[in-house]
Amino acid sequence: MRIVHVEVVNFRGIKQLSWHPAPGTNCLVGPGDSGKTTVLDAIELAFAPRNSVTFDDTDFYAVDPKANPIAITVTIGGLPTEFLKEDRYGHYLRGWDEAGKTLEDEPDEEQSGLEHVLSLRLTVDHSLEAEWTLFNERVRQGQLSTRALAFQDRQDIAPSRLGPYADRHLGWGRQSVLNRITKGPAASRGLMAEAGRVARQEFSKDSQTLFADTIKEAKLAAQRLGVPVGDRLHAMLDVQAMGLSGGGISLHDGDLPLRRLGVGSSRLFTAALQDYARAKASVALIDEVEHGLEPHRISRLLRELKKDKAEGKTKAQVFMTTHSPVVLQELSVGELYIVRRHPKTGAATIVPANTPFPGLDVQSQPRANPQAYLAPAILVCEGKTEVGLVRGLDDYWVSKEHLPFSTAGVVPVSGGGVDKAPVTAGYFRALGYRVGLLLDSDCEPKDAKILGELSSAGVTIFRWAPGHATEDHLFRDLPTDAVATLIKAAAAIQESDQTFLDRLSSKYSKKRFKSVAEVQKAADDPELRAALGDLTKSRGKPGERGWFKDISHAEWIGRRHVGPHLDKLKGKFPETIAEIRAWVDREQ
Amino acid sequence: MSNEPIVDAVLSSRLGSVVAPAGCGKTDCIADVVKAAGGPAKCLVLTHTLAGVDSLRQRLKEKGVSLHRTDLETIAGWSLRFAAAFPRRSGLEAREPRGEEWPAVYAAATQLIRGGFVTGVLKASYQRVLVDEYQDCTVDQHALILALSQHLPTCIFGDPLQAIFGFRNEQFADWKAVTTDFPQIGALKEPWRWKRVKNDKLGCWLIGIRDQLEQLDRVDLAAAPRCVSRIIPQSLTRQGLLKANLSAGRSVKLRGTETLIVIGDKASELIRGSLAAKLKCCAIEPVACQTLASFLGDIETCAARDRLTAVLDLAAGAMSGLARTAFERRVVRLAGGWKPRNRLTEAERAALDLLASNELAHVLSLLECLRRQPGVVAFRRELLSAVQNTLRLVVRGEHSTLAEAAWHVQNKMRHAGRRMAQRSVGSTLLVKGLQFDHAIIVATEKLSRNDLYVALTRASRTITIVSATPMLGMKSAPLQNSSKRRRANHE
Repeated sequence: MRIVHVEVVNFRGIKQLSWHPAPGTNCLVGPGDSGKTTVLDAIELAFAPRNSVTFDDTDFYAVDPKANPIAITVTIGGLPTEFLKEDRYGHYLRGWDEAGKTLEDEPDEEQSGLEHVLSLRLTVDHSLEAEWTLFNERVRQGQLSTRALAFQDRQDIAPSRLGPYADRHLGWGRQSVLNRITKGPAASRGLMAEAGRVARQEFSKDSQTLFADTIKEAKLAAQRLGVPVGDRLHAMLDVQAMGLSGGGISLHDGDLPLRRLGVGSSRLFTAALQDYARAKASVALIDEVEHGLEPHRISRLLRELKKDKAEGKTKAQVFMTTHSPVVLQELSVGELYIVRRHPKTGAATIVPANTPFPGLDVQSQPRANPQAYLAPAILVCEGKTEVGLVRGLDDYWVSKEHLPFSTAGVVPVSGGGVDKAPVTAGYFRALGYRVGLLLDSDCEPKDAKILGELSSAGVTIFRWAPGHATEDHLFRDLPTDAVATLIKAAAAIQESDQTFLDRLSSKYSKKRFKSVAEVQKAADDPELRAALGDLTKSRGKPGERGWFKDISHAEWIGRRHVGPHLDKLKGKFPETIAEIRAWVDREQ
Repeated sequence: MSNEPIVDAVLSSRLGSVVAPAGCGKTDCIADVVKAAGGPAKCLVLTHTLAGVDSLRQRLKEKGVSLHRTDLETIAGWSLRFAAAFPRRSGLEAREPRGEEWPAVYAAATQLIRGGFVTGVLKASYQRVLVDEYQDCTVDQHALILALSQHLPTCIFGDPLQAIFGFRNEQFADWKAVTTDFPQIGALKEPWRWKRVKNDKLGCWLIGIRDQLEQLDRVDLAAAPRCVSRIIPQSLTRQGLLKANLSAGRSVKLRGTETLIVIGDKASELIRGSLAAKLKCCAIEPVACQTLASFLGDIETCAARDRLTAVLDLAAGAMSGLARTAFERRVVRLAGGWKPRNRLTEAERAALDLLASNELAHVLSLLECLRRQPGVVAFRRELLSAVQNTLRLVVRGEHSTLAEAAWHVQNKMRHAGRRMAQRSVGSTLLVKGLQFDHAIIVATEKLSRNDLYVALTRASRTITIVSATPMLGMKSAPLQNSSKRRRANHE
């Protein structure tokens, strides 16, 4: 069984959502409150056993049950053959076109190759009464009588859910996976009764001595008032009062209950057990898949979930949420889905991350920029220098009690060059993120039209003064003492001071410096500054090191030299920085 | 009884037909097939009438076959169920089809199946299809079964000699064509119905006459066993025939709960009605009875005196002992202001109300009062009940028009089935598929070859035939394979 379509109306924060999940792994990412968990809850509820769930007003969109009745419709394919029988659900079938992602109300397997699917609908109105039915247009128009999936069938195909805490699955309580493995609830009850008997027998062996004194006193008291008690008065286990229910029995390793395992281990163990129980129900719901797990265990778990199943079992369709870049790096872009919810209208969308964008290899994105997917807003910077600069500025601003970028939901990422950065920005914009693009102005992207297109798509573009790279601004605009420090730092990155001086002489012919200190002294010479800027931004010959082309150095420059001097700087450089700050602050 | 060879043949053929002469255990054989087919997928068993469904269900129960093993339905009901479940694919329009709309239902179901829209459902639901009484299939129904047989092993059961057709404009599938699509894989030959009452001789004779009927369209009574007797009318005048019919009626003595069927002219309800009155029998009526339809049409369009006449005409054609002429004369005088010495009867009061008011309630109460009068015997019981039930539905306001109410009454009758009187009169069309102890066959000259076979195979003990000649069926019957054959409807 797998889910081909999910439709949610008026459920919690979601006013409306229509989504076609993929057959394999569906990892939902998106900023907090975008509705990821709501989607998982909706899917789970559509299969929930009747009477096991109760609804209250907060489950309705805008907490208004009268105006917003809940309707969750989950369409499932890969149906067990017995579901097709005319006396089961055969007459309720609909037709699913996987290629076109369209649903037809009636099946057509032979001519159009539509897959047989059924739509399960859960509705809850203001009376808070939930109703589970099979849905299609024929039922809606009263042409077919209302029918629901039988309890057992629903039980059989219901997805298993691995929540943040999995302790309960390590006991025999209701709905636990152990209970499912124990050949159904009836078999479980039989075991429980037997366990109760064993417990009573064992207990009676020692209870005579344990409670001997108390029993003696009780006997005397009874005789005093003439209550007829025999000689057989003894302490015995009252199994019912002790509550020897399924939940009271759990897996132990030696004397240690397994629920004392760490969060991660118990989740992994439970995942393994659920896999065992998943012959028919091949859908799994996993909240925050990374919860409690170290990176290597995350990849182990993900690989297990994505494995093709042995005969008799289908490959699982997994729905998961995550907040971890590690998880993203383990997934392919086709398994990622971006959840977005309009805060005012409540309209939610789920966009596949592998939505193609011209000029960009989207496959590489989850590995290259995993953290970008997890934030509401992204500042795509041309290269690492800019990322570092922006981060350094952020650090500086935080020290001056400005809002941190992270709180504002902004993540700076490296776009990888003047041509790649714009398409990266365009891609994330198309997925629904708020995107800013910081681009050097020393050269223009090959695609001359792209900046205009991005701008009209809603990307905010930040540029330096014409012809200026970041490095140009740093060396030309910063005060002399700051430039002197940069010179020292630049020299320190090179193999030796002489290498630095040699490279400088290739660009600057006015004077031949003998030492780095001499260069520092000449730091107010505009020609020297220009030459330094040029040197810094050039990649150099093979084998030569770039100067500030890594994040940590640029970060240091931003924090220590640009931030503190922002007030004194003039021209386009501080203006653009102010624009970036305003963009960060504008919306949260 | 052992149906094993036939059961094996059915289960091992993808397509096939079994010829099943009357009384040879066809229902039993189908039940055995279902039983032997096993599970887990069901057998789809289709037949034509609700009565047929009932008798199959009964037989399956007797054999201890779980009803979960079968989907037992009329072709009509099954077609409607599937076509209505997928209206866009089938193109079905009428969700509550009436007479003329049924062919469209079969066409819709055929389109649904032929188009492959529900192949998955069919294959998951059924292991094979068995169709009973195939000789009664229309061309539309045959097309449907053919479509089904593309996806599921299919075997049909029927008897071309029992194909009897009424008067509606429906085309019937030709048996020769049918057996090209479904090659014959066996024939039932043991006359169980007669063997059960130790009347093997009659049973064997009835098997024996099939060849003669099929080839020469006739039966020679000279070779019949003793339980088949012939009453020879003294003359062929109406009077002479009537006398012969009456003496045939007197000659049959029923013991205990034995039943008698008088098989008469299939063309006329009225002639059968009067025969029922004379032989003290009850007439079996077609569900969609013509007399009912024309009566309802009449009283809707007339009032007062004309309406009284219409009601009394109906009453006189359905009950004996009414003294209709005297009653009508007296009511007319009363309406004219005449004051009689003795008190008015309740029937007379009802008739006066009917003259005074247009309310249909008065029609109903007049019929009820007439029927209650001492000495009155209803010989067209089913007709009267149908009229009264229809009127009642309208009077109570459950339906607004008589036609609507009549449709519901008829529908209910189809589902409820009929309660047979001990002595009944019917036509071959009405009695096919039914079983009796004794039969009287009158007006043999009007019976076609198939009518004759059906009439002769209704009784298990004695048959009395009113005929001037021992050679029955000399009149040229319509050919079996003539393209336009007609029959009444889903009786």
